[in-house]
Amino acid sequence: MNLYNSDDVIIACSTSTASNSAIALIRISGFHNLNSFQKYFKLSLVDVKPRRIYYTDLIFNSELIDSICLTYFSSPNSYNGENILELSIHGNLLNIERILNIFINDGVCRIAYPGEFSYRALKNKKLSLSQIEGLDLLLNANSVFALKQGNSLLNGDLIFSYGEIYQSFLTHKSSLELMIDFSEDIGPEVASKQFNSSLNELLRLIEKLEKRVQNLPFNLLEPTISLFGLPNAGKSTLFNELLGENRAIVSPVAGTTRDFISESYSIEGVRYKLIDTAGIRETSNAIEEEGVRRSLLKLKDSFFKILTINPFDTISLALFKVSDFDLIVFTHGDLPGFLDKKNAFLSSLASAPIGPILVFPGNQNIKNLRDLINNKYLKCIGSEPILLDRHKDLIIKISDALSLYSVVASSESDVGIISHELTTIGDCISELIGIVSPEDVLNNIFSNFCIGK
Amino acid sequence: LYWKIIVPRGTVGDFMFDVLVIGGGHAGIEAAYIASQFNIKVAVVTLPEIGLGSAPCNPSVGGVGKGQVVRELDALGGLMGILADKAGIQYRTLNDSKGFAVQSTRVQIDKDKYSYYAEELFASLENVQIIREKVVSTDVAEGDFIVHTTDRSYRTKKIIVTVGTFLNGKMHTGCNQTSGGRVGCEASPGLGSLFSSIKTRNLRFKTGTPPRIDKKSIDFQLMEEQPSDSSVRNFHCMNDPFSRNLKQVSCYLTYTNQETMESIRANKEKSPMFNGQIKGVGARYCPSIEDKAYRYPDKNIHHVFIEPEGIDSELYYPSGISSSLPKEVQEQYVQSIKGLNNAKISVYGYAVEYDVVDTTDLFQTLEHKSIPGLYFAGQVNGTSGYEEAAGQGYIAGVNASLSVLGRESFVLSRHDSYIGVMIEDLVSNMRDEPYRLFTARSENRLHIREDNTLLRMYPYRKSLELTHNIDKFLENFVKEYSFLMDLCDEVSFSSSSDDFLKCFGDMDVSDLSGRYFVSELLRQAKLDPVKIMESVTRYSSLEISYDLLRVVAISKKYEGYIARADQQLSKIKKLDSMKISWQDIVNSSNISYECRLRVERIRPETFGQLKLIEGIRPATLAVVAAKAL
Repeated sequence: MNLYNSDDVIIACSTSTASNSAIALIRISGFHNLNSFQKYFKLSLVDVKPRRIYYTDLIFNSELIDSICLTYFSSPNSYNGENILELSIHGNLLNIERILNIFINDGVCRIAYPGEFSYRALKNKKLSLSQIEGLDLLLNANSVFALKQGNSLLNGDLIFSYGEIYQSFLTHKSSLELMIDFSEDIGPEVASKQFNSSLNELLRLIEKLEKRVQNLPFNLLEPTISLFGLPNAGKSTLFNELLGENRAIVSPVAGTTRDFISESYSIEGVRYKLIDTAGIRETSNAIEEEGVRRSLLKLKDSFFKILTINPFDTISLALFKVSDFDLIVFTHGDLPGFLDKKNAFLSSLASAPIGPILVFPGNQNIKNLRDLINNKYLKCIGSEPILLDRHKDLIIKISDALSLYSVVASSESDVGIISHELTTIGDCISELIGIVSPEDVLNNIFSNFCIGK
Repeated sequence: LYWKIIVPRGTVGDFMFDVLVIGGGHAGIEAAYIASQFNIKVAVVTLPEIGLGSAPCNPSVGGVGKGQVVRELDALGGLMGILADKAGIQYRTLNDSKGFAVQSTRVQIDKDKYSYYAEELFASLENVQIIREKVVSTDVAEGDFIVHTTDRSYRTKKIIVTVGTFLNGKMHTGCNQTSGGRVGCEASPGLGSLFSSIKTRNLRFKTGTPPRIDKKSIDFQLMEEQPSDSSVRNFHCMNDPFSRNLKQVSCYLTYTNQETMESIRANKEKSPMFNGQIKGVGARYCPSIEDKAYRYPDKNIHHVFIEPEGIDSELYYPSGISSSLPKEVQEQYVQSIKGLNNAKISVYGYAVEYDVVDTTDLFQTLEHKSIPGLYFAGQVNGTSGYEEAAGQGYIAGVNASLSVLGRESFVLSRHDSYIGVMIEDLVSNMRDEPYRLFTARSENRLHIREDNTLLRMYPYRKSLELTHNIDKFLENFVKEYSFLMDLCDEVSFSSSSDDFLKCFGDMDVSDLSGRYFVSELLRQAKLDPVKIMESVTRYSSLEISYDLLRVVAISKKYEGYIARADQQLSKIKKLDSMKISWQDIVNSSNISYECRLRVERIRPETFGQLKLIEGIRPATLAVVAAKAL
C-alpha cells in the first residue's frame, strides 16, 4: 500500500504535537459525503455550508468529547481539491490522541502518511511540484530568507521565473518546428531569425537563473558557525560567552567519532548551528594533528569559520591556514604581554591575507562578532540564491545542456539532429516546473514531509 | 468526362457488397483500392459530376510530413504514390538542405491526368464496382446496411463514409452563398439523414481555395522560376526513382505587396469570414489571404506560388491567397501582385463550410464505436489535405476488409509512422480546428523518415498476408538491407591505402587517418553518407539499387541518435502500447470524477491514447500504469 494510489479517507493533526497548546487543528480529507460524520456531532451536518465556521460538540457513544469549531471545504474548492473537514479542538496532547483514535478505530479514516494531504493537492493539480517544495521550505524554514523563498516558490517570483523559462523554451522549440514544417510559407530568413532570437532569449533567462545557483560551499538553509583552534586556545570559553545566559543543554552530535558540541544560535532572525570543535584533545602530537585535520575536513562546509588563537601558545598553529577563516579571535587579551605576543604572531605570518580580527575579552566584541556573521549572511542572500538542491542540480543540468546545444545548433546543418538534442532540454525543464515528475523525485519530496501539513 | 469513355454505365451486379465506400475522393479510392486486394466485393458510390480522385484545391501531392504519408501508403500497397508518379509534372524536395530526417517530397500533379489514371486503374479492377449515383439515406437490415441512392438500393456488410466537405456543405464568395461541397457540385444531405443515430459536432469547419488564373494572362518573366528537380525520387517504390511519366513544367514564385494587402484590408466588411457570415472554424496553419491581412496588419509581403493545374491546363493555382471575398475584390488584389497585373480570373476563390464527425467516437480502426461496420475517413473527420484523407482511407479500407474476413484489426503505431500519429491524434481528442499532419506531431522524427519507409512499413504490410507484387518486392528489399547493413560493420579501409583514395578520392577525406569501418565513415559529420555508400558499392561492384544504398547510408548516420532516443522511448513505448480497459477506469473509485467523464467519452484502448486525452491527471495515469484500478 502506498500513498500514490490511495483515495482512502485520511486524518491527521495539522498543528504541532510536540507539547500541549490551546488549540489543535485536525483535518479529515477525501470523504464523499459530509453526512457520513453526522453521528460524531451535535450539529446537523446537512445544514453546514462550505467555508463557514460552526461551533458544536464532538460526541462519541453519547459522551461529550470536546467542544470544537468545525469548518467544511467542499471539493474542488479546498487545499488539495478533495472534501476536507477541519476541526479546531483543544490542544491537549491526550485530547488530540483520543479524538484521532475515535475516527481511526471506528474505521472511517486512516492516519495520513507523511505529506499525503499535499500529495493529493499535487494529484488534483492544486499545486505544482515546485510549489510543494516551496511549501516544504516554508514549513521547515530556519530563517526569514528561507521563508521568503518558500513563499516565492509557492506563489511568487521563482515560480514565475520557471514559467518564463518554460515559455521561452516553447517559443524556441516552435521556431525550430516553424523552420521544418513551414519554411516555405514564411521563407528561410524569417525562420532562422526566429530561431536565433528565441535561443538567445532562452540562454539569457537560464543564465539569469544560474547566477542564483552560485555554488556556495555551505548550506544556507541551516548555516553553521564553527569555532576552530588548538586545545586550550579558548574555544569553549568563547562558545559559552556567545551563548551567554541563553545556553541550553549541550548536545553531542551523533555519528561523529569525535564529539563536536553544537548549539542552536540565532542572529537577526536567522537560526544558525554553532559548533565548538572542543573535544579534540589528545596528548600525543600525531593524534592531535589527525584530529585537527579531521575537524577541518568535517567542517569545511561551515558557513562562518572562526579561528581562536592563544598568542601565548602558537607552536602547532601552522596546522591551520589563517586565510581559510572568516575571522581570527585572539584570546587571553587581558594577560600582560598580550599585545607583543599578538603582534609577534601576526608578523610571523608570511603574506597571507588576514580577515577581521577580534580580541577577547574586549568591549562590544560579541556584538561585533554577531554583526560580522550577519553581514556575511546578508551578502550571501543578496543574490537571492536558490536553496533547493533538486532545483540547483536541474538548473545546472539545463544550463550545461543548453550551452552544448547552442554549439550543435550553430555547427550542425541537420535540423533533425538539432531538434533531437532540444528534446533532452525540454525534459529537464518540465522536470523543474514539475510537469513531468518521475516517481523517485516524488518519493524524495514526500518523504521530507511531516504528517498533516 | 473520362469514365464515360472507360467505364460504361452498366447494371450493378446483384447489389450485394462486402465493403461499400461512399465518396470517390482521395480517402474513398484509397479505401476501395486496398479492399480490392483482399478479393472481396467492393463498391464506390460517387457523385456523377466528378471523376475519381479529383483534386478540388491545390494541384500537388506530398509536402512536409505528407510526403512521408504518401510513401507509407505506397509501401503498404496503397494507391496515392502510383497515381502521383504517373501524373507528376514538377518534383521538389522540401527542406532539402536541412538533413535527411526532415526532407519531404512534393509532386505537382496534372489534376485531370491524376483523375484519368485513377479511373483507368479502377476500370481494370474486377471486384470493384463504381456506382455514379448520389446517396440519400441508409438503413440497417439483419446485420447489413442498405444504402439508398437517387436511383437504386444496395446491400453491404460495411460502409466507409468519405464524403469530404459535402456534409451540409455551403460555399461562400462575398455575400453569395450556395449549397455544395465544391464548385459545381451540390451538397450531400446532413449526416443525420444518412445515419439517424449519429450526431455531427455543433462546430462546423471551414476551408477555402484561391481564385484560378488564366495562363495567358500571367507574366511569368516577372516571377522566380522553380523548375522540376530531376534528382527527386518517385513515390512508388517499384518505379525507377528518377523516371518521369509526363513532361516536366515549372512553378513560379511571386509576392504580395502593400497594395495587395491594403485592398483586402479596405474590404474587411465584405469578407464572409470576418463579417460573421461564416461561422465555421478554419485552420490556423492554412490561413486565407484575409486572415493574413487582418491578423498581421504590419506584414505586407507574403509568398505566392503560381502552380500549373496541368500540362495542358489553362488554369494556374496561386498558392497562399485563398479567399472568399467578393469577385471584384479578388480581381483587385490579384492584379496588384507582380506578374499578375493583367491576370484574368477563370474561377473565383470561395470558402466552404461543412459538418464534421466527432472523431473521438471512432476506434483506431476508424470504425464507429456505437455502429459496428460503419467507418469514417478523410475530411469528414475534420482533417485537411489529400494525403491525410488517403491515409485514413487506407486504414478504414483495410479494417473494413479484415472485419469482413473475420480477422484481427490493423493499427499503425505512432512510433513508426505518420499515419499512426494522425489516427491516434484524431481518435484521442476532439479537434478544434481542421487537422493537418506536421512532422512536429511525431516524437520520433529521426526514425520516421521518407528514406526508410519500406523498412518501417514492411512488418505491417506483411501482417496482411497478401501476395501481390509489392509483397515480394518488400521482402527482397528488407533482405538486401540487412545484408548491406552488416557489410558496413565488416568492411574497413585504411586511409593511407590506394583503395581508399580510389574509392573516396573525390570527397574531402583529408581529415581522416587510420583504419575506418564503412559504418564509421558514414557517421562522419562532414561527409555525405549517401555518396560514401555509393562509392563503396561501386568499388565493391555490388548491384545495389539507389534507394537501398541510400537508406542504409542514412540509417547508419542516425543509428547512434536513434538508439539514444529508443532507450528513452522504450519504456514509454511499452507502456503506451499497453491495452487498457476504459470500462474499468470509468468504474474505478480511484479515479477522479472529471477524468472518468473524459475517459467515458473518448474510450481509449491503449495507455498511449489515454495519455493523449486533454485534462487527464498524472494521478490517473499513475493509477492505470500501476494497474491499481
